Amino acid sequence: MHIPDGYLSPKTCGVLFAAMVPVWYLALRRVERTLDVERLPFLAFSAAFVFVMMMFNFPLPGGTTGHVAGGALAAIVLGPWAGVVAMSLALFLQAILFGDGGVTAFGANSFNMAFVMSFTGYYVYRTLNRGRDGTRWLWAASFAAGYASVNLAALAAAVELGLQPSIAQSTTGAPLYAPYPLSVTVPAVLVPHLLFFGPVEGVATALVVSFLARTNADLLYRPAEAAPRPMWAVVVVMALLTPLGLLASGTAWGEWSVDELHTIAGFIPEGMARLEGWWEGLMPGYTVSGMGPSLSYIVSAFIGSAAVVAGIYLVGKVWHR
Amino acid sequence: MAQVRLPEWMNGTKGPARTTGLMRPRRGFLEKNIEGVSFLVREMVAPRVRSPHKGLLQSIDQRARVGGTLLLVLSGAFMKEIGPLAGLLVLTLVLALLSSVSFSALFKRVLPALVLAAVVAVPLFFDLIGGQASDGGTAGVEVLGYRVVFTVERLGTAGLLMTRVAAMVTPVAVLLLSTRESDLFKGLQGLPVPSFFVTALFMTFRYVFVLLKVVEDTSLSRRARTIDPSRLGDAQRWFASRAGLLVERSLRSSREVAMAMSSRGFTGRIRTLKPNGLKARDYLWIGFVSFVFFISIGL
Amino acid sequence: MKGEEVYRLEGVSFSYGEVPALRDVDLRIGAGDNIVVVGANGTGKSTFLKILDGLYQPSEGTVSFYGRRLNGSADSKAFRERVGLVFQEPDVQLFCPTVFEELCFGPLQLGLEEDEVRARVEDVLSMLGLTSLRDRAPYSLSAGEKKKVAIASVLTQNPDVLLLDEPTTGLDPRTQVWLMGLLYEFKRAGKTCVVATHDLGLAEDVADRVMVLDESHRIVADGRPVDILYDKELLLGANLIHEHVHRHGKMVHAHSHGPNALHDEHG
Repeated sequence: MHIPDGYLSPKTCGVLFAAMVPVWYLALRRVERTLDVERLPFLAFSAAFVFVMMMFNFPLPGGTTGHVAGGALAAIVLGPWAGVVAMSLALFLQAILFGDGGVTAFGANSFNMAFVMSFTGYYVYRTLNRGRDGTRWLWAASFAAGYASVNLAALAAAVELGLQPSIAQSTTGAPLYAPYPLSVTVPAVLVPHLLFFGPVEGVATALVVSFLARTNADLLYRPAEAAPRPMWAVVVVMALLTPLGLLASGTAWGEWSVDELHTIAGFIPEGMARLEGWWEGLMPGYTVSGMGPSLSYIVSAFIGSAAVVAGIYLVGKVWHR
Repeated sequence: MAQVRLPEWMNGTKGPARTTGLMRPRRGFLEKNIEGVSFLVREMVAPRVRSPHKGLLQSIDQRARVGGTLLLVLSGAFMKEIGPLAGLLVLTLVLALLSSVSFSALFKRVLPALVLAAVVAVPLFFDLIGGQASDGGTAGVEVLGYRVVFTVERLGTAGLLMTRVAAMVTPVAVLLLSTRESDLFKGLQGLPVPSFFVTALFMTFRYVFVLLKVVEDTSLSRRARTIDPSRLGDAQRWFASRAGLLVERSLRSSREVAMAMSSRGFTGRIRTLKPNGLKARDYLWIGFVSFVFFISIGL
Repeated sequence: MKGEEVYRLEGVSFSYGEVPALRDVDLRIGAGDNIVVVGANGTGKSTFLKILDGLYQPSEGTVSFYGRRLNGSADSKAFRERVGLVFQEPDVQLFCPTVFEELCFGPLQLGLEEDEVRARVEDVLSMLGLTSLRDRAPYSLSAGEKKKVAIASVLTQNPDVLLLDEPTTGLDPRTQVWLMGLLYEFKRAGKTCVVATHDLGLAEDVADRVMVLDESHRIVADGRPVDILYDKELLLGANLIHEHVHRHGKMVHAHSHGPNALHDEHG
């Protein structure tokens, strides 16, 4: 489910990254409150654990194997906020060391896998498991958590990819990044997850959680507050499901025309279009009087980079005093 | 203390084995993968430990190196046409050459991304997509009941995607192949990334190896005990128990490490050494990369 | 100042949840003391050291450091500057990307100026013969090298009190000898050392004072090495030595294996 570099436009990457910044900030604050000095090694170990889990091949019938994303598991064991941080750390390492997931797409991948997946998994688990005892419920709740979390994350990824053709186009209208529209990406990504990866994740999550519950139950996260009020969970789930609302307009998938796509996805690119103008505005002195446009363009770029160098130099001076 | 006595059935030996040749152990996917993964991870680290050849990138300050690479990748994100992207790719390859990075190693690293891009691009040529109506795609070929259409536009889109992926993945690969991890993390530290995050990243990296070792040790011991590891239910339960073991070890070790850090005066905020100043050559590099970046926005 | 009271433990007990680890410890440690705490595995040696390092709060009793009670103050800079603990597992202690940075960590956290930190690190590196390893990643070193780096990383804090948990375990003979030489040097320099080990030979070579922890998690003896290490019954009872019966030619011997003194019973 890791989205590599090159499939998402800079605006998408930027928006999702910006969306994650407050999440990360909040998550660190939360973890800090409960753990203090232990926070650092705890998070590092949790992230290492998640990383290793993601590498593991989970055995399946027929001698095949599947991969476990582990977001739900991380949230159930560590709590949702620590789960977010652990997943983000693991994703970052995967991106730079393995090239598994892009560097520019880090914000997007974190949003899908660290945020959406963890929180969905956690709240599904908690809501189903509330006040119930017994291994069967635990199994079911963990399975549901794994299944729901992976599918929601996949949906988010599918939506992000599917929006690209309408957000970023060349002058001829051809897609600049991920080339398939929602009508293709959503089923293409979601169906294998609903049918295959989802159950795999569910089973794996259930197995591990029930194992832990049996052998060493206090390793599992126990929230300081009482199990979340269902209303909270509903709100969160609704927020995460809004993209689905985009699809609910009833047209059969194969027959979406370009216009319909534009209307459905329209409100998102509008926000991004505002960003677009901002970027170009940053360029100092787009044209220099007296020169041809391409030359002045190059000169502007040169001036820009000189500004960057000077800026870094000055910051260095001030920082080091 | 009482002397230990062996039970009856341990006495004696079985004598020579009657089967000829080595018994090929039917390896379960679990063992195969753990070993494979550990190997992969180790292999990933090893070349870099040996790497510091003298080269262009190696002589640049780590922070500038990492930041510059990221800027190059970002440039690739902004470019809109295949020409500039190809140019960026060539530029990166030149950098690789100047930094004594082996092209075959580079290719191995980049290949998976390229293959994925190619696979993603293939359906572009099939007439399944209702949306791509502006093609005029009648000049098609019938393959397995689907129409395959090659038009300039479709080729352009596919080519753009693949070139973009190549141009964005290669700089990261070059960075990795020319830098030691310690430098990599030091480089990240200098950027506007919270130092807590970088330290956590490094510790995570380190503990991945620790955990892998734990898993490896226990997996190998399991192999020694059984010769039929491929029963699914068992394998899945084993997987769960390994995961549980990892959780346990993680929590226990993290407490010990926390104590060790406290013992050395850590109270929650990490103080690190102030990095060396940037030299002229670092500024040149930064200027150059920024230039490429600004150009890319408009291209 | 030699002789000044550094630690006073009164009625100290510690349990991990329900499981007792240390019981009723009453003792004083003076400046310049060189103590070896011997005990079999699981008797509470590590716990003892961690309590001395302020990492654990005793379940019962009080710990005083230079006359002041150690509770939350264990995190104070003043305390951390004066006491250093070398853990049994070097891996637990090594978490920086390079050896150089590892050695810098302690003094940096204590707020020293960077120039002084660097100077100290260089000194310790050459003192322990680690200069060639300075840019290596600690986790890639051999067990002996890791141990040296772990010790070095505590030394750069320049503590007055050095606590070492099983320092010789897992080390090859040459490094073990090196370590003992190092402990002598600390003694000469006036440091207070507390070493926890089950290696009686080390105790004999290094200690001015020996404490014995037995399986009841209590300190059952505290005195001079010559008194304690030759007390066969005591050591047997604490599971530190064992009786052994073997033949030399036609003669059958029953004697204990322990430090040389005891083994020399059959002469």
